[in-house]
Formats: sequence, C-alpha cells, structure tokens
Amino acid sequence: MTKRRKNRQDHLANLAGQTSPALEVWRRFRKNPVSMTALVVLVALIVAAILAGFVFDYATQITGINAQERLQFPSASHWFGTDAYGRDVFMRVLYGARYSLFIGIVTSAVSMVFGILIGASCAYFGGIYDAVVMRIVDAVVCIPSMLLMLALVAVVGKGMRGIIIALVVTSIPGFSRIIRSIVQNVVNQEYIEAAHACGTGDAEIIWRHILPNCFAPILVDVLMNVASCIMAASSLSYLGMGIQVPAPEWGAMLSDATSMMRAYPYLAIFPGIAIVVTSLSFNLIGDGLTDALDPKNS
Amino acid sequence: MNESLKAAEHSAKASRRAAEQAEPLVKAEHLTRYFRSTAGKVHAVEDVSFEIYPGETLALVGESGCGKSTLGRLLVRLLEPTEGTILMEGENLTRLKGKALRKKRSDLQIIFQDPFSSLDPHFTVGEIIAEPLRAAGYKKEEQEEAVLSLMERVGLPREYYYRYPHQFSGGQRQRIGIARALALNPKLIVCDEPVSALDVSIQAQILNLLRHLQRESHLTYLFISHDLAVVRYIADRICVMFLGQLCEICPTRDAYEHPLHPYTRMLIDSAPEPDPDFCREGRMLLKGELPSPVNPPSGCRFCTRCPFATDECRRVHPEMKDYGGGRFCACHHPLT
Amino acid sequence: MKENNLLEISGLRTVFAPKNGKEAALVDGIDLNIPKGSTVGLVGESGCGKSMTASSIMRLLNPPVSIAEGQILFQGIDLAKIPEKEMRSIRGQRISMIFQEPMTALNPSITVGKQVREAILLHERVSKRDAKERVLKIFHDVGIPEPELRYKSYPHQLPGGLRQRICIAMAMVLEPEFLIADEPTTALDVTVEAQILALMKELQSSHNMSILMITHNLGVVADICDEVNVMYAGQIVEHADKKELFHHAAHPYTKGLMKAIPRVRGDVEGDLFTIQGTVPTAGNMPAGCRFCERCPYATDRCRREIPPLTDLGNGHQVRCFQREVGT
Repeated sequence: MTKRRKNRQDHLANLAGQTSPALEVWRRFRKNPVSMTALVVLVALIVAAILAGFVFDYATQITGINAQERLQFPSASHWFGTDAYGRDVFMRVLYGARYSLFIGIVTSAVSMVFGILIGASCAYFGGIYDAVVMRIVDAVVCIPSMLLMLALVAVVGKGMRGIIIALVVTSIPGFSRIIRSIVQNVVNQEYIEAAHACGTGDAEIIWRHILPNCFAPILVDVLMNVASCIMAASSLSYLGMGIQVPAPEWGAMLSDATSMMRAYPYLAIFPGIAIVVTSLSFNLIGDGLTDALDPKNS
Repeated sequence: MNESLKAAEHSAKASRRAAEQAEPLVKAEHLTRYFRSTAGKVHAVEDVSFEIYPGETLALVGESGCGKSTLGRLLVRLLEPTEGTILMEGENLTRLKGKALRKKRSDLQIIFQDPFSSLDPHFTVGEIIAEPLRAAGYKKEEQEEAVLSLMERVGLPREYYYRYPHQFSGGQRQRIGIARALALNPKLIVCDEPVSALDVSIQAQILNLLRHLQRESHLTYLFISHDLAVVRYIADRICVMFLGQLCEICPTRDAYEHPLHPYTRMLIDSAPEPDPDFCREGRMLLKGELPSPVNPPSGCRFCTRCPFATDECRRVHPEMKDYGGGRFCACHHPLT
Repeated sequence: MKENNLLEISGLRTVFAPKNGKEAALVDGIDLNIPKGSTVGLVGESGCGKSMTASSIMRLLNPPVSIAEGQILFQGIDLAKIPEKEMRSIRGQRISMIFQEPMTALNPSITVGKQVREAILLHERVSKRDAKERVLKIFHDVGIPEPELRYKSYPHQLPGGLRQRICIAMAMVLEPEFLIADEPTTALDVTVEAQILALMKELQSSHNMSILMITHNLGVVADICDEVNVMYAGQIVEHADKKELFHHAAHPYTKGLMKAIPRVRGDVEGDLFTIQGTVPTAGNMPAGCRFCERCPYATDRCRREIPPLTDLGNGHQVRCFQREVGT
C-alpha cells in the first residue's frame, strides 16, 4: 500500500514535466502573432455578440425608427454614423455579429457531424459502400454551390431556417471528402494495427485512437468552413434570399446601403469590414493551427 | 564468459528440440494469402508450412516484397489467411472470431518495425503499455503496477510514465513497443524488423534486450528481418522466403555455412561484410530483379534467377524435402 | 590546394539559424579532402551531419539552414562563395549526386529516358536525337536491360534497383569529376545492394572519378571506400585509410561501432557490445568532447575541452585525448 502511494507521488512529481501533444500545439500557436491577434479579435467579437443581446433593446435601438438622427456621418456620439432610419450603425453591426457567428458556427457544427458520419464510415468500412457514397458526394460537389443554395432556399423558404439548411446541405459533401481522407490516413497508421493486436475492440479503437488523432485536422477544416459559411450567408442575405431587413444582418445591411453608397459610403463600409474581419479571423486561426499542428515547426 | 556459455547452451537446446521433433508451439499448415490489386491477384504468401518450437527464435528472412511481413501478420491474426490453418498448442487459431479471438490475442503479440508510427501520439507511455492490460480487463491499479514493472524490465526509467512518445528517440520508443508486447506474457511474439529503423549503436542495445527477455521469460520469437548479420546473431533456426514461398528451413549455422538452396547462398553472399580483408571474389551474386508476385513463374519461383535452373525447375514445383538434422529445402538441385 | 586533391573542405560550419531561435551547428567545423580518383567514405549515425555535409557541397540548403563559415575548394573554385548561377553550371555537370530514395529523386510523371535526356539538354547544346543516343548508351553502361524499352518507362513501373540505376545513369551521363552518393543502397535489398556497389566500383575505375560515399553501413565502407571519415555529432572524429581504420580504430566511438555490429560471417558469443546513451541533439552539445557522455574513458578534461584532431601518422587522425587508452 505504501509502495503504491509512493508511486503516485512519483507520478505527481513528474506531471510538472509533462507536455502533451495538445499543450505543444498551443505553445506553438501562441508564438504566431498573426493567429493570436485573430483569436483575440474573434473572442472579443463573440463576447460583444453575446452582450449585445442583453445591452441593446432590439425593438427600439436596433430596428426602431428615429427620424431626427437619420443619415449622420460617423461622430463621437455615433461611431459608425446612422442609417436612413436614424439607427446607430455601430450598434447594428455589433448586433449583426449574432447572426453571422450563429449561422457560421451552427451550420459548420451540424455539417461536421454529418461529414464525420459519412466520411469516417467510408474510410473505416471501405469497399462498395465507400465507392457508392463517394460517387454521390462527387455528383453533389459538381453543382455550383451558390446555385444549389439558391434552389434550396427557394424550396425551404427565406430566413434563418432556409439559410442554415442551404448551407448545411452544400457543406456536407466537401466535409465528407476531407474527413474521409483524414480518417483514412489515421486508420493506416501502425498504432491502429497495434491496438488490434492488443485485443482492443473496434468501438474503443474508433473512440480512443481514431477520433482523437483526427480531431485537430478536422477542427482546422471546420474553422475554415465557418469563414466561408459567414460569407455565403451574407451573400444570400445581400441577394434578399436570407435574413430580411430590418434585421441587422451584415449582408442585408450592405444590400440596404447599395442605393446610397455614393453619398453615404460608411453605410456599406462598416458592415463590409465586419464580414471581412470575421471570416478572416477564422481563416487566420485555421492557418495558425495548421502550422502549429505540424511537428516540423517545433 | 559465463554469458556466452549460457548462449551456446541455449542455442544447442533449441536445435536439439528441433531435431527431436518436440511438441511445437505453433504449427502453420499450407498458409496462403492473396491480395487483390488493380494489376491482378497478388500471391503474397502461398502454401507455407512450418513449425515454431517453444523458447526458440525462428528467423524469417527474404527480400522486401517476399511476403515475410504478411506471413508474420497472418500468424498473429492481424490478417486473415485465404487458406490454411494455424495451430497453437493444438488449438486452431484460424477458426477464432470476435471475442474469442480478442481473448487469444494475449498469447500473440507483435513488435513493429517503425517505432514512430506504431505508438499513438496522443497516449502517454503508461497508457500505451497498459493498452493490452486494459483490453484484457485489468483494474486500474493492477495496470499501473504491471506497467511500472514492465518499464523496469525493458530499461525505461519510471519517470517516463506520464511522458508522450514524441519526447523519445527511436530506441526508447522501441522499448515502449516491446513493453507493450510483453504485457500479457504472450506465448509468441512476432518481431517485424524491430531493429532495422534504428542506428547501429541503438540496434545492439535492443538486440541484447530481446535476448535477455527471452532467457528470463522463456519467450518464443518469430524474428522477421532482411539483415542477415542480425539474424545470425539472434536466431536459432531460420526460414528463407522467396516470392511468397519458403525455400529452406534449417538451424542458423547450417544456413550460413552449408546452405542447401541456391537462393540462401546468394542472399548470404550478397551481404556486405565490415572487413576490408574479406575476399569478395568468388561470391555468388544474384542478377536482375525480383519477379512480380502478380504473375509468379511456374515451377520453382526462383528459376528465372537461378544459375542452376533446368527444364525440370521451370516445369515442376519443388516440394520441401527433409535433409536430416532439422534441415529442409525445396529445390531440385540443392547445393552440397 | 594540394595537387592530387579534387575537393578540399576546410572549417565548414553549416548552421540551422531560425529567425527567433537559438542557432545550432549541424556541421561544426569539418575538414575533408577528396583525392582524385578515389572513394572517400563519410560514416555516421542518423543526425550526425553527414547528409548536411553533402548538401553543403552541392549548395542545396534551404533557409534557415546555411553555410556560416568555411571553404569548399573544388579545383580552385570556392563552392561556398560563388554565385548561385555559377553553382548551377557545376551542379549536375561537374559534381552530381545520387540519393537514398530513388523514387523521390525522380519525377513520377515523366518517363525516365526523357528525364535523363533533359539533364543533358540542360547543360549541353546537342540535338535531341544525339542526347537520346547518349542516354541509351549510359543506360547500357549502368546495366539496365533493354534500354530502348526502359527509356519509355515511368519511374513507378520499375523495381527499386533499376530506379537507382536510372539515378546513377542520370548522375553519370555528363561524366562528372565528382559523385556524391548519399546512402545509395540503404533502401535496397542486399542482393540489389551488392549489384549497385559493384556497378559503382566499375564506373569509378572506367571514368576515373572521385566518389564521396555517405553511409551508416560499415559493410559498404569496407567494400568500396579507400579512405574513411567517421562523423559524430557534427564533427569528424576519426580519419584514416580503410585498412588502418578497420584494424587500428583509435576513437572510442569508432571502436564501439565496430564491436556493436553482429557479423554475417562469424559468430558473436554472448551480448553485443553497446554504446550507452544516445547522440546529443544539435542544441544541447556538451562543452567538451561531443562523445564524452557516452565514452567509458571520459575524464574531466574531456568534459571541459574539445579535443583537437591529432595525427597518429600515416594520415590517421583522431579527435580524442585518450587515444593511448585501450589501443
């Protein structure tokens, strides 16, 4: 008994020198100033988006009409100016982050789940199942994604639900393909064979060996996908097929501002910057993570 | 000196056992494995029969692509044989499936060639070595106790318990792999080129370790290697494989000093010798390249490269014949 | 520069110097001479800097790795200093190289014949037809059966041994004075290895060129080299004529290596000799002798000072304070 306790103590003493692969990745990621900046920006944006729901009153401050203060250029009282209905553009842009981030994250998460189910099963089982499913995926990838999204929105209906369904359906094929190759790569590693030789069961091999080793590359892919979903959602809204005015969705705000762009360029510039900054942050974090995951960069 | 006496005694024991036809631990009969490829049916292993005796090291040598790794994986049931049976102490392993097979895995272990890809990078050393114990249903504390004693046996300091494989060099990683293979006291360990990825100075450490462990725990090894110097050092008997089939099985010293099969002779003659005075004239060297395992030559598989091949060799497949003293050879015109 | 030397390296230091990190020397001040018409071996374990030496000679280094100091004199030209353009005309034509993995050294999407032909057309003004004639001739010289047929093969259609022969053909087709072979037989089977070594010996005597043979295999050294340099952790620790080295190895590391390898022809009784511990990594070199932590004879002085390369006579040089011990 005392011997065992001593072992434990030895272990604890050595925990200090432990560097798990995840910690190593974080250490390398931290050294990359660009990705760290992107991470800080993104975290700030997420906090702002969450707080915006509590601080601002949707009916009066975000969508309410205030005729006295219409079309004011940016100033100390209205940092991003006001629009044709006298609404504060800064508040609307901040509030708009809720839509973009929500759509981007939810669609990517949902399509990732489907992508993992399809891609991982294809990689693990292989054979005819794999061949058939992958040919279907190929066929869907062939359809231009904007066209497919517009068609889906037309069927499901405009608004949040329509956008999410359209984006999920168009993201799944790409995800399935990439996840299949990631999983295939891990399945072919010798440690999977070693696990079989140890007598570890299939379910446990998938859960303890395959998924943890696929997690990081899949995460990179999801981050990149969030960025493209945000762009696509804004595009749909700009085309009038997504979130509808007066909701402060960035794409919809841009669409609103088009007619007044010459006289009041700030109306288009700020939502535009918001879209670019948000999707760029996701992309840069993804890039940084890719570099950090590469053990050659240690 | 004492050490070397023991070693000599050990190998004498092994060859005696072979000669007396003692009860084999593993008996492989007519093992065959084909693979499908776009080029056609690959004859990776075809009609291979041999026996492994308890406590011995049987080496499996041959060129890359001759099917030796496939054969090793068939024996530990990581691959299904297309035909043939594997008997371990009389029990037919080829029939085992699912849970029964997983249970049997405690008797069959494998040490891999690549110490980098054979360890899961997300597991700590302790978790890696404990994996077979976990699969066998040991309790947490039992696992921990067993892992620490295994680490001691393979020469890993206990403070490595919570470290990750990427923090170690190839030699240390190979020790981790060996500890994992030893965890359940297996009856047979297949060593698949365990030292060929290691540097010379580390290779000697691992070879010594494998031999010490064998003596301590009466382990049985199937030692797969292409390095004939390593094989001469570690093996009691050797099987020479060419293009999916066995050409010769015999005690190690016989293979090096009086080989029966021309291929065995040529393989040994081609091995480089770290001695500048070694006479390189008069060696029998192979010409040309390995034929494809998709369309192996009819008759003797070696006939296209053999300097002694006759019409008979091209027509008739040679059977494995007993030449006494534990020597077997499949050749129409064996060297004498 | 001595008359009979083709290449003279002095004080070569190749460093890994990342922008925001510690500089580490991969090759740390080596001197190496290649006499005309001879084969010089560079032996050592992985990571000792032997391949980095070859890349330095060929100037095939990518940042953050670069040559920090030293001279590489090739027929009076300092390869460490000349502009890249001049280097390009030397590379492939006067100095060429073959690699460990012939598959990665060849372009998978071009037929092997065309690749070798391109090597000629890059350096010489000859017609495509003449170039092809020369390719077929060199294919024949390096023992490729049915050169006409193989000319049209893609690399993946050939077995490993033939691929290495193609690489040798490509390196030899412009008749270089100097060939660097970086572990050319490590990826090959012993039967093919013996063929390739025989071919290299034959080509060397027929073309009277010099070869730098980089390998970890002492068997290969004993077979084909005239002189041997043993490298350990970025430094040359011993240099001698082949026979002298194998019979009278002086450095504890060289002696350890010789005893650690099992033999094909002859039994080793009992345990193999082992060198304890592992090679120090580039960033964590001991202050004194690089080998002191693994050396059974190390003294305090070994741990403090780096021993110089001292001459034992007959061109046998060793980097060790204790060279008297245990000889």
